[in-house]
Amino acid sequence: MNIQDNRVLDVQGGRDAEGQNCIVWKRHNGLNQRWKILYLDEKKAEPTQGMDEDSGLYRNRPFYIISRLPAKRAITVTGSNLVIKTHKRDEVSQLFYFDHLTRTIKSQQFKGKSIDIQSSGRGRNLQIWNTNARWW
Amino acid sequence: MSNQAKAINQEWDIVYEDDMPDEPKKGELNEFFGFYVERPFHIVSQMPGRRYLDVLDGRNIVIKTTNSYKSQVWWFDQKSKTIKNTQHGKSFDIQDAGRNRNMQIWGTNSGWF
Repeated sequence: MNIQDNRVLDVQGGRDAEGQNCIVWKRHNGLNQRWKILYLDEKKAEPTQGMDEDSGLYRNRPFYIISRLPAKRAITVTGSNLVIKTHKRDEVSQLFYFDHLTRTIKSQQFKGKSIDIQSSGRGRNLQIWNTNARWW
Repeated sequence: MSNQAKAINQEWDIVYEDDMPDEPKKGELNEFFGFYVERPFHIVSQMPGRRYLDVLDGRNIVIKTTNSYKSQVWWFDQKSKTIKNTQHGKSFDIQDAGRNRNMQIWGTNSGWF
């Protein structure tokens, strides 16, 4: 709390979004003004396996993304684009995994890249793109 | 003397020299500020995303998903009585010397501690 004028640390607009700005604002005790101090020496190690409840995906466990259309094709990395192709077991371009640190779905073929909506989410095309701190 | 109601800027404590407590050292609690000295911590939003306070573009304070970067690690500096960022070494600050509402990190400056 700022002792001088009774303002407190506040997430602007109460918007719980990645990269949302923080300000000081008159105290109203809303969730966007509540914080927990978590000392590193008391922090539990981030799980690297098992189900991530927020995403519903298992951490670091490779998977295919199979279409429910009759041919049951799999999402496949082609260049930087994502298309459906006939599923082949162990085909690395068809394998993805949920990365718990960045909270993105990464390509097993290109581990520095994640599934992304083109043009920073303004487009409609899906692609893989360099995993970027601005959008996780 | 003003007739205004008693305000904190007019309240004082007399502390005798032989009763003056030592400054808390590294690892000890600063009871006034509620922080342990030089003990690194995260500041975690209690909104559902449980995002961590982070620094964007070397200056602006935002919330982001936990990651392994030191820009999400903070510590209380007993000397300046400020919260400092581990990666950038600068202190928590309200922009424009407190006249703005935006939060940022800024070079630790004796003008505001």
